[in-house]
Amino acid sequence: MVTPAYRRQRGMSLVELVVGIAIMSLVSTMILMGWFSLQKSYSYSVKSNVQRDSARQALSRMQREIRDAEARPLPNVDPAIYRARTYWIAVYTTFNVYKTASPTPQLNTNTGLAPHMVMYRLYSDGEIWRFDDLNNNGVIAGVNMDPSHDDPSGFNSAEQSTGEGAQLYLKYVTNYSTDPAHPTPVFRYMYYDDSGTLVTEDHAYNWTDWSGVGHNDRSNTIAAIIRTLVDLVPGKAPVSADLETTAQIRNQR
Amino acid sequence: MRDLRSQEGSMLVLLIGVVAALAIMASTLVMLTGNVQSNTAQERTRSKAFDVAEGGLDYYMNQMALGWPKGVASPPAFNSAAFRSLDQFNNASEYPNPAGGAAFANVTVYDNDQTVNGKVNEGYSVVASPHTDANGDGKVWLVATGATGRKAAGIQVKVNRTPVNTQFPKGIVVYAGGNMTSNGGGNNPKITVEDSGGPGNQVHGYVKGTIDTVTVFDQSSANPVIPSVGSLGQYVPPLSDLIPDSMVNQIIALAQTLGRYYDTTQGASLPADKTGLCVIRVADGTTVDLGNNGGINSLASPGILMILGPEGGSGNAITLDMGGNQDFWGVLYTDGRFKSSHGTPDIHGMVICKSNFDMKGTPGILYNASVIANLANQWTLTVNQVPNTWRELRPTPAP
Repeated sequence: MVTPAYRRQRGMSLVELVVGIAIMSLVSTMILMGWFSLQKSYSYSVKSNVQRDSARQALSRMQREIRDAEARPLPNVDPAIYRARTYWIAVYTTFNVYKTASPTPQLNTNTGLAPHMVMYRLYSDGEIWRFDDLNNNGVIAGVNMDPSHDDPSGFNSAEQSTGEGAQLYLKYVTNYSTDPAHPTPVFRYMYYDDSGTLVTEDHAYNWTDWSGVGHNDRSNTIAAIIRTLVDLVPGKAPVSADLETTAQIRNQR
Repeated sequence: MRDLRSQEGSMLVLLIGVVAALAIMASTLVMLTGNVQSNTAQERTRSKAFDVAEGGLDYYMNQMALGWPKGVASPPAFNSAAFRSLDQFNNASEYPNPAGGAAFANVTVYDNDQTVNGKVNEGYSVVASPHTDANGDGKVWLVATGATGRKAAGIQVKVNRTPVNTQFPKGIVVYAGGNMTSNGGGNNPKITVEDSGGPGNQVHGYVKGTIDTVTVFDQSSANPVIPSVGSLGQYVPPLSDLIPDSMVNQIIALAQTLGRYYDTTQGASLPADKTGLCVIRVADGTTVDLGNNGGINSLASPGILMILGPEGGSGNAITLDMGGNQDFWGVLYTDGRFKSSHGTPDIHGMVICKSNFDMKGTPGILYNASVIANLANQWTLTVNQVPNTWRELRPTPAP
């Protein structure tokens, strides 16, 4: 005899339990999938926002510094651009030099406010580093500045710690690393060649041809085009932000 | 059983946890995005402030080409209203006025009168250098500032003036394409040399047609005028050999650029001010009176006054009249005739007329080489940046 009270305390059958577990599993899976998806999306948004911001700021700063490039005055006269290569550039600049209260501020002299050398270089690890000739002796110590040296895989990463005024500028730059067989130049240069034609090349230098005629492509460079491909989600399949700007060198136009 | 039933389920707790986590993530993302947006907006504003400063600099360089600040007390004032109305900058929502009432754009002139590292006339002093080209070397420093929203930018550059080379021929005091008459012959000579420009320099006077007396030319002093009169069989070059049409057209174009070109045949009024460069077109038969007393221009700042006939016309019967004690320094050029109707006016420089040259009264036509030389430095063709002097200044604090 089953009393009413016993009937009320009766458990679920096995079938009911299995069905219940299945439904709960399905719902839990859906919730977890949604959660993971949200997290992934959130993570992507945060990382890509940060990367975009960093890249934009770095590019802007680079553009302003190169835009201010200025020839080195006497006694060590040199064009505003010291090296114009595909993955690195070295210029003399006074960008952000502190404006003194002296009676002759902001002059092109060889002391104090003279332009000093600044260099940007992309390494094969995808990092752009900025170097600064802090003692203004015309050389950035601890860095190979040989003009024939223009392959990121050949750059010595030790320069990142030994180079004068070394600063990490931007990470996850994929111009070179994504496809080393077909890399994207970071720097290109616009200059007027000796026939007056405007040329855009991924390098510029002053050279002498076989007949002894000198060509001043580096001296005649009027603008540097800067392009960075920045990985927005490092560690994942690359999704790059493609940023490009042109720094018109005001003192060589 | 009632207690057990009241504790049944955990969905609410789970839901609250999930919603809380989502809320934290969402707010973090919003903050981050807002931060990035703010950075971008600041960067854009900074870039715009730089554009304003550089635009102001270019605009002012153009202003300086119209009025280089030499021999004046102050430079041309930066025309901020006209600059603000340019298409690029007249959108107040895109380029808002800076906070705190600071100037949207401004340019200050400093003369390059300071010695730096032994180089004379290299630098400037913000406290001591005059705001004009006081040393007269055709170079000054400009400091341009621009501000919009909460960002400001500054640029300095040395600029160099390229003067218009007027290329007037030296050694010609007068050229008359018609006849020359001189009433009151007892007062001759009337055409003399005031400044030959140096020993051995010859000064010529040309008359294409007839002349009533060559004694009008001073031929006996230490600095004589050598007359060439067509009716006496002497060679008189065509005017176009001395003053080619291209030179006349260049002067007309310069006057148009400077706003000193008046075509009265097209509705312009005859200007009262005939100093400096002044080109006036009048209808045939018109008499232009230069006035009776006073002075037009000076030795240091001579001028060019051209009285031309209608465009494409002949200039027939146009008269340039001068009388009283009027003084003129520079070059007088007319398509018609020159007449001094009375008195003792003096012209220091050169007179060119395509028609007759009629001297009543006792005018003095005085060749002055310094006047001709000074003309070459009176007007500005362009104002250019001196390479390797352009610098962006450290931004001034945001207002």
